[in-house]
Amino acid sequence: MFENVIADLLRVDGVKGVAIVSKDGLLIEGQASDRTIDVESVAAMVATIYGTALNVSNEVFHEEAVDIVTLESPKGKIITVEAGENAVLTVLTDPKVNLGLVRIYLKRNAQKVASML
Amino acid sequence: MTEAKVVERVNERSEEMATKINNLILYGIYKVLGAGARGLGNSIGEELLNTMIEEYGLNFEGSDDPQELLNRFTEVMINTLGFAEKGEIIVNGNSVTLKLDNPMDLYALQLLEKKGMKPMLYPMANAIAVAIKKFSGKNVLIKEIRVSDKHVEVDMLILG
Repeated sequence: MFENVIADLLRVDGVKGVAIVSKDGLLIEGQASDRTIDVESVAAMVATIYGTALNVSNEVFHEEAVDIVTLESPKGKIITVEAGENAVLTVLTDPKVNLGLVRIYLKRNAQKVASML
Repeated sequence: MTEAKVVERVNERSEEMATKINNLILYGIYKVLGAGARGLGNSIGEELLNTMIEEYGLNFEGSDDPQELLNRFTEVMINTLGFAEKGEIIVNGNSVTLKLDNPMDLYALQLLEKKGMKPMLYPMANAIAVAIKKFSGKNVLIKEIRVSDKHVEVDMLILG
């Protein structure tokens, strides 16, 4: 269903994994180049991180909306955007990925996912 | 009052209290985690479904008809677990609606609504979503949870 979205994002230099996840934590579709990554577990965690970010935004800014959630670790990044009312789109990347480029690809593909759900 | 009646009454009250305390715990989790609690839904649904299969006799063998699978799910949910007074799962094309009368977690959901928070997690619906995925390979999105005085209704959408 989302093969094109996944392929488009995996073409970006430094992107190692892509997942489309329902806000309930269900992996809708995903792929990771590193086979040690359990994409289903990551999906549940990403949904929780995104939801918690929404809650924090609501508490601090009185606005339950988040443009992008970025988790940076020394070994990589996890970047998540909303993809419609019921899902999020997330990528796992190398630490030195071009963040600007990833954001553009993420936003563009999130719109595609949103229109299909 | 006989001793047996006293024991029965104490048991009833303990059960009532346990349900109320569980509801308050659920409410507390929703309140602190807010939308973050929603992300736990699929994992909770998975465990709930496994428990229903392993401990409460939910058996999907011998049927690949989705409506039949959901009927068996409802039977265990209502008759074995006593999760609600009455339950129904309606499938209409790609839409699935779970309707429950007086479910055990109604109090937590009503508390949330009273405080102006929209319920975003419904474990029984998550368990249904996991069951559908397990037996048909199709993903299910939970679209809306509606709470009224005595009922909970959850709308789901089967993808693909």
